[in-house]
Amino acid sequence: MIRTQVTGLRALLPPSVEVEQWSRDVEPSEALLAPESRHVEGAVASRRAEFATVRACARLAMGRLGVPDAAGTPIVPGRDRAPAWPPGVVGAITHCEGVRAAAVAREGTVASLGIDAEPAEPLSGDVLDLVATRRERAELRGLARERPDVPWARVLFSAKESVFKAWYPLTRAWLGFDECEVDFGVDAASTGNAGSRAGVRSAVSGTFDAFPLMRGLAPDGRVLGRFRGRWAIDAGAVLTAVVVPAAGAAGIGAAEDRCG
Amino acid sequence: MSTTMTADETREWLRGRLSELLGDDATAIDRDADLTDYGLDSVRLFELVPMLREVRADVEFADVAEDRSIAALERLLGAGDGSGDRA
Repeated sequence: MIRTQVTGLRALLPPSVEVEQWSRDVEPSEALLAPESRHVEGAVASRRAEFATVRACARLAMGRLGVPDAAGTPIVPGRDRAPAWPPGVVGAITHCEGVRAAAVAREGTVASLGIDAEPAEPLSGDVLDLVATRRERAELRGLARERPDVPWARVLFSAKESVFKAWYPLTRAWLGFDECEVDFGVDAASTGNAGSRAGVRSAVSGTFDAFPLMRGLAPDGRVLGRFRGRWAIDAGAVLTAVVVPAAGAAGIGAAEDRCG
Repeated sequence: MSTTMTADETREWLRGRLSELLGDDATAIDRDADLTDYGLDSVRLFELVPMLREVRADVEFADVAEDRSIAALERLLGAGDGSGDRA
């Protein structure tokens, strides 16, 4: 039996989530639906193109999910900049150099999700100071000794982006980058390169747990005390994904209290 | 906080720094346009903070995250047209 290796964001998400990831842009005039087109009519060409491409990705993913008229469903950002998904659908989009992606799921199985892609490059010290707590900066120094080939500050940034994308639709509350702490793990299959000065190998991935420092309540009454996610370095990009399963849904564990 | 720049100089300085940050000429950008449409992604939004602190030391991320227009940044730096007060 031939097994195709699963790569990209697909490898970071459970089967209940439909993912579409492209490396190049579509022609915006062909991909954008009218309400979307109005939203970016003043934008520069590169912004229009990435905006259009992630929406094309979202429509394909929604189609596989069985959303009626997925191809004709516009995804327009609200005043809060969050994309508005059709009823019963949760989702997230992301774009960076070489990555355009959308991930969607049924509300009945997934309460919320977040995905993010960032270039696998260092982050400036000024930005790291704004996004990492003191404890996280210490953790990152330890991880860098273990895996100097991984741009850990960028992985942290991306993880927090994914956490925020999953947090916001549930709480409709702001969560600052310094109001959430992340613990990282490295997958066993990608360990064993400690101390290497070589570039990032193709298969480096792991898990993370994110703990919001402020109290967040989901609409179903659950306390959003912990978010579980996965990260990977893939083709020059940092990829992260967070899934909050619906209450009672089988599969990966629900968000839970750190101490509970 | 001390700055010796006039409001006009501050506005010009801001356009210059935004041009560097966005890698594109920011002089023609509409004051009220969302800078997201000009390539201000999330990392660059964070990079704005230390940049603006050169003029105003107490700028925080939340100050720049909500209204991402040049007009809002000018107001934040006390160089908005009109009162220049923070809303």
